[in-house]
Amino acid sequence: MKTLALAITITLLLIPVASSAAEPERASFDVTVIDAKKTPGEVDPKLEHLKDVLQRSFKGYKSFRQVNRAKFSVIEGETHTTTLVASQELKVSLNPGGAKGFLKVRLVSGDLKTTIDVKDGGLFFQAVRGPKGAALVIAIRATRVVKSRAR
Amino acid sequence: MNCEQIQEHIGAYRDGELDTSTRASVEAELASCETCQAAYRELEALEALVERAVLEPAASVELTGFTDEVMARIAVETSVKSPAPERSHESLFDRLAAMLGLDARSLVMAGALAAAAIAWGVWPAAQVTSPTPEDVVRAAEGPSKSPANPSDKVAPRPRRGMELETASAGRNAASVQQVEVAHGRVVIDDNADDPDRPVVVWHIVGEEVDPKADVSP
Repeated sequence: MKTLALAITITLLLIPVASSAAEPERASFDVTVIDAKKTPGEVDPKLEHLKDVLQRSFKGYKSFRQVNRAKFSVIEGETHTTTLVASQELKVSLNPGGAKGFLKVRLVSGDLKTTIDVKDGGLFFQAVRGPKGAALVIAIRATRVVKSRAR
Repeated sequence: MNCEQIQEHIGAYRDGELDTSTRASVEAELASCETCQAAYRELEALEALVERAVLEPAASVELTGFTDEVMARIAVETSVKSPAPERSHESLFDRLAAMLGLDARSLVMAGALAAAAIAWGVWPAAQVTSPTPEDVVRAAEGPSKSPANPSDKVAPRPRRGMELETASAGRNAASVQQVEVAHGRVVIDDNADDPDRPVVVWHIVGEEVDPKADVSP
């Protein structure tokens, strides 16, 4: 009887730990593709949620136009492919090993491969620039999805 | 044109994109107006930052061995400095069993029962996760581009990399761990001037982005 009681106690104590270890991390991504130009123009109303940071981060640019936007989630160790413009694609992976409170994100776009640790819920940009200054900006916000138990 | 209008044209002026009359207006203003000169210098400094090559072409920065080597050296030095603790005649397991008033066999049985219960209860839960709001949106928008076959998956590579750049503060803190590029060069603009400003990873390429290529919905 004492053995059984001890077994139940150990089980109850270890279930949260085991559950946490078994379930893979998952993060949601909000990817916005923006055509930025230095010539006079406006900030696309669709980019209202990014207007402030775009103007602070790309000071030489006047015109920002949303080209595409995608929201999706990725499980740790897997890759999601989303379209940037035309046939250009962006592969987004959630890698293991991010620091506490950070997500380790792997991006592959053309021949550019980037691995970045970003704060949970944080935003970062990847931008491609040609010789005359026009830029294709990719805004990426990564947020950890809170684990839930479901049967 | 007033100062505001002139400053709107400074970027295009630097890139040689203005027509003759507008360029002349900008040059005249830059020659006489300190405010416009300051705006010009600010843009010049910004572009210099972007132009500065942090990484050379075709760079592949892989610094993962550094941490492992340091940790290995620490381990060696620690083992030299710290004498091995004396072994107790009575094992921890025996002491735990005695403390709980059980014999060793009963303790093993309890552990086995607990492991079986956890495996029974947790394994199915790990196989199924609730759909997130994003999944719902994705499903509503049409077919997913998630990997349909295992070849699209990226094998997890646990790695301790050295940081290239760190934007340590702010709600958008981020550190670039690794960058590889075959063509052009990469410049990392951290947010040192503004802790809440996101990091920008610039890829500078030789070809102009075609503005007509991205208009399709």
